[in-house]
Amino acid sequence: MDYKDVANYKNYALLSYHHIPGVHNIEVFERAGGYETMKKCFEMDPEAIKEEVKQSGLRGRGGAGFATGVKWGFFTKDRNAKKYLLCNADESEPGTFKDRFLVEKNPHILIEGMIISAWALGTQKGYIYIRGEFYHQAMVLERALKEAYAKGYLGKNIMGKGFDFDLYVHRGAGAYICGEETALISSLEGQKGQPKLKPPFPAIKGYRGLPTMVNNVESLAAVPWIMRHGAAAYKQWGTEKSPGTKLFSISGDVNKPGVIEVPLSTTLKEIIEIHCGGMRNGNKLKAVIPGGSSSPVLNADDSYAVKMDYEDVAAKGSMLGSGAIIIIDETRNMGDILKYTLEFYHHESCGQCTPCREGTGWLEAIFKRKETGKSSKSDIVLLDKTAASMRGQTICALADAAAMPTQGMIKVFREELEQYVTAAPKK
Amino acid sequence: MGEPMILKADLYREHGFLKGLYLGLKITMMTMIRNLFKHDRMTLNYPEEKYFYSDRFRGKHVLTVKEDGTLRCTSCMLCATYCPAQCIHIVAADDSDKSVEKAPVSFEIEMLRCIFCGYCEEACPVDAIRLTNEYEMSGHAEQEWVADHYELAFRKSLNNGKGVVSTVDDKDRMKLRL
Amino acid sequence: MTEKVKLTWNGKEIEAPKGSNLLKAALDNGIEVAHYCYHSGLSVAGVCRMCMVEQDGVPRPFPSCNATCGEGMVIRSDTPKIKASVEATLQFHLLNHPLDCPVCDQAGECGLQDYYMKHGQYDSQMIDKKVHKEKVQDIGKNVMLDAERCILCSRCVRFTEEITKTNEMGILNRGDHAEIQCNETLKNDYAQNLVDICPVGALTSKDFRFKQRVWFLEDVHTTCIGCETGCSVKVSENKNGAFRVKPVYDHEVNGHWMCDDGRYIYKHVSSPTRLGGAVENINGLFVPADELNVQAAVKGKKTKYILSTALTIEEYANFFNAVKGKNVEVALYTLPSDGPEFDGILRRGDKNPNLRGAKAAFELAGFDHSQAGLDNLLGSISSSDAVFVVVPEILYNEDHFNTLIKKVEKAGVRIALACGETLGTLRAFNYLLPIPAFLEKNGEILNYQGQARKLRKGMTYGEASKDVSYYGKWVNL
Repeated sequence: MDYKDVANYKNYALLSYHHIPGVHNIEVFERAGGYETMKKCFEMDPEAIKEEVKQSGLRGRGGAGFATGVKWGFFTKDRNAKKYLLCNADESEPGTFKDRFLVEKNPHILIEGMIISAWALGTQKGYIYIRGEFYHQAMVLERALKEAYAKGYLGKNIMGKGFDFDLYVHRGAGAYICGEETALISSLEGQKGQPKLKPPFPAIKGYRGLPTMVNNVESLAAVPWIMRHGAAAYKQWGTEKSPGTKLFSISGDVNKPGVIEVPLSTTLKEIIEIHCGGMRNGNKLKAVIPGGSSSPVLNADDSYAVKMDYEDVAAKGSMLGSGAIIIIDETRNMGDILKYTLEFYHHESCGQCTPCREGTGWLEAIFKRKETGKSSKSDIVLLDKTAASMRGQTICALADAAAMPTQGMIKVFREELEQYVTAAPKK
Repeated sequence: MGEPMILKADLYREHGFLKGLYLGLKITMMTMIRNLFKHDRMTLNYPEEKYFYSDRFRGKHVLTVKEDGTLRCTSCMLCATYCPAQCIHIVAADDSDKSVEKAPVSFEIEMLRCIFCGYCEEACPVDAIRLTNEYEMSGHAEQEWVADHYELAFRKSLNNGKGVVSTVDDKDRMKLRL
Repeated sequence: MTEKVKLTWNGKEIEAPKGSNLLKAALDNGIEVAHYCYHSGLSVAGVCRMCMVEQDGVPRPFPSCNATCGEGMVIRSDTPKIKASVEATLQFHLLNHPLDCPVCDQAGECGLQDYYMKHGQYDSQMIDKKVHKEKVQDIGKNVMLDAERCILCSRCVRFTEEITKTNEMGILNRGDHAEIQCNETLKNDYAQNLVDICPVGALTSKDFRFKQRVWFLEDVHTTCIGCETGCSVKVSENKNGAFRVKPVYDHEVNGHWMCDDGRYIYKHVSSPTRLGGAVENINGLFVPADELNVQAAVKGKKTKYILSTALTIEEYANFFNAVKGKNVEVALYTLPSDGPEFDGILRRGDKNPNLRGAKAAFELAGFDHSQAGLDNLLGSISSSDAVFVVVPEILYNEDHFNTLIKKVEKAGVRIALACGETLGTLRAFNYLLPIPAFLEKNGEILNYQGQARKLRKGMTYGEASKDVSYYGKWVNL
């Protein structure tokens, strides 16, 4: 996204500070009104904060879209019990780069959100688990943390309320699966980054066996705005079930790819044509992957009709996921896209559950059979069947994440894939 | 040869024994005369002449070998398991070649117990044992009837002692996904 | 007594303790549910995804190993959806599994084979290259690892993590390149359990390796006589001999496991050098002898008996009945302690399997079983004595036993009653007579808890039909 255009969105929630130069410095941030909400919240009852977030209808922005307030409701109410707040900044889904943009330009909005959430939930320690590749962003966060500590917003006895909250940044080691909350906890514990069996859920038994709340960067960063303006103000955007604004990371064949913040339920047509400046070179739209590489593809007609909220995207047979919109024009071969997707999931499967461990590898092998000269049209049938048998079989959603785009692609672009697998291999 | 040779009671009653005698002598004479001029008789002058059975005959066993001359047998004992006469005795051991892993150190068939049913051939997953059309077996003592794997794989009659290489080689097996 | 709940599984009503594992409840009630990673002695991993079930009112199938029993649950594992899912998951398990069955020791008791016959898709669609991993790795403690055959159920990892707490096994890499590896070598004393819990042929025993196919073997459920714990075990044997020892689940004594020492207690039973009949020692050469010769040698001598602690209660009782009221001296030889008293899992330092039974029998018959009693007997030995020494069946400490033999040397006639491979240590004896090994007799022994443990008879390999009580009748011939 063109950096100058950020100013257009200052009225929205998450990027409302991004237009201010140097907002990553705490002084600039505070001058713009940052941390005021935090101070206000410390005067409030924690339960009231929880209630406000619940009222706002904020939904988890990590991909699953589970209501954040409801999730907080499951958390232990015992304020003295040891518990943790984790921020999931392990943004690894191909096509997603919203958290990176958010944290890089304005780390304090996340820290403020985490302090408010920690106060509401009564957690004494917090970790920001940031993707290993985000070195620069981790450094920005570290610096911001130092500033916040210096101001006394973090550490012991914050704002004289007798509340302690320590926040740390932890860099991951580069595994996609560590974006899954239980795998993230395993990784943070120093174990192999593998998802854990649920139940028990992390809210009951998470990091080091203690209650743990894991939230996405975007969800936590939305909390200060909600607390400042109230749940009703947040609900002015979006629909009844998907209120608020959402960051979309747009990549692919448009003139201006980048991160935008728009209210939920904005049409994809508007996003492409107004926010992204239309299709690149005036090419025709072929397909859109609306929620990161793990969501099923939408064809051109559906893409123009769809409204970007959780329900409408689901109704079109896909999912909003993390809001990574990948726009594909007519010059692209869908086979190549599926091939890269399958390679990615094969590489990233943690190897714990059998259907995923063997299935992701086999999907790739089936799809690449033409390289060994053994391919036939029926491979697509086998591919579909194999993907179907992987769904819903595993501890985490990685098998689904590999199977859904495969099945979605076969559903929409079957003939093209059949041609792709039977075509002579490139020499 | 036309009429039935069985003498029936009413035949005697009707013709007396002379008719039967005549019938018998007729056949004998006819055969004799034919054999004097024609040579299409069934009897062979064994052992100067030998009958060659088809390859599907179930005779003496052969253990096939790989191209490098070692036994194909992996000593999975399926033949010994299926064998209805329980005449196959295998002792397995580690093979120095890790890709082979298991190989027999001794493979014995008690020929006197064997009923030549061919189940071992059917049970073998690696084409290591076959029944040949060899049918000449003889021995003086019981011990001579226990065929060890030298005899089963490398006897003189088989490719001059070099062993029979299985038509299905390892590489082909991989291709066939056996 | 925990609260019981009733639930329905495939229409069959079963009862299980509330909050207990759902899969275990089914297995305990005789319902077959395919599973690889679940083991009731280990924590739940939930990775094999074979035990999926459907519950009324729950939208998605879930693995039964990670669920608990609740009142009135209606579980189904026979719906078309579950059947398809089990079939598909098994297909994934077999996808990269090598076709090693002909050379694999697990064949015949392999989880993959069993479920393939039941849930297999017999028409293979796999024409792609399999993933290859390292085969034939000796990881120590008589365990062989074949990473390629592994289905990554992680049972072995959990065993070394939770039971032995030595953490030798681990899963390296990820995705379909993940493989089980051992950190250097196995170091725990329970390593052979890894072979038992491995549902496939990835971990096999080097001791049993290629000795027999399992379908030729029959199991005899008996008790380990390695130490005073008295683990419940089964010995696999056929007419060619005994081949291996495996633990049998017994929640009172050994649970699911047994130690490595116990794995080798079968060795002497079918050993080719085992004592077959009476043997006479002529100038250091053992020659077969007639029993009557032995009797003649004993005749007129004063008989003394030194019993071992590895006999059954019945043998002690019969022996003391035989010598009752006769002028005879009897003492008990106990093996010294070997290692710490208890290692925290199963292994005990006291290597006298039936010490408690022996003591009780001695006391009942009015003989002294203490060390002082043994010393008295040894001190009074003269050349007019015939001394019978029952050689301990599992002789851990030969040096200690040799000191006993030294003291017996003064006796006129020295007779060893043995069932093990101990010819080397028995050169000091004039005669050797066979007695049955633990696998050749029925009876009971008392373990460290004083609990009666059953020995069961398998095959008889030697001519050892006469036990100690028979030789007890030779008193003062």
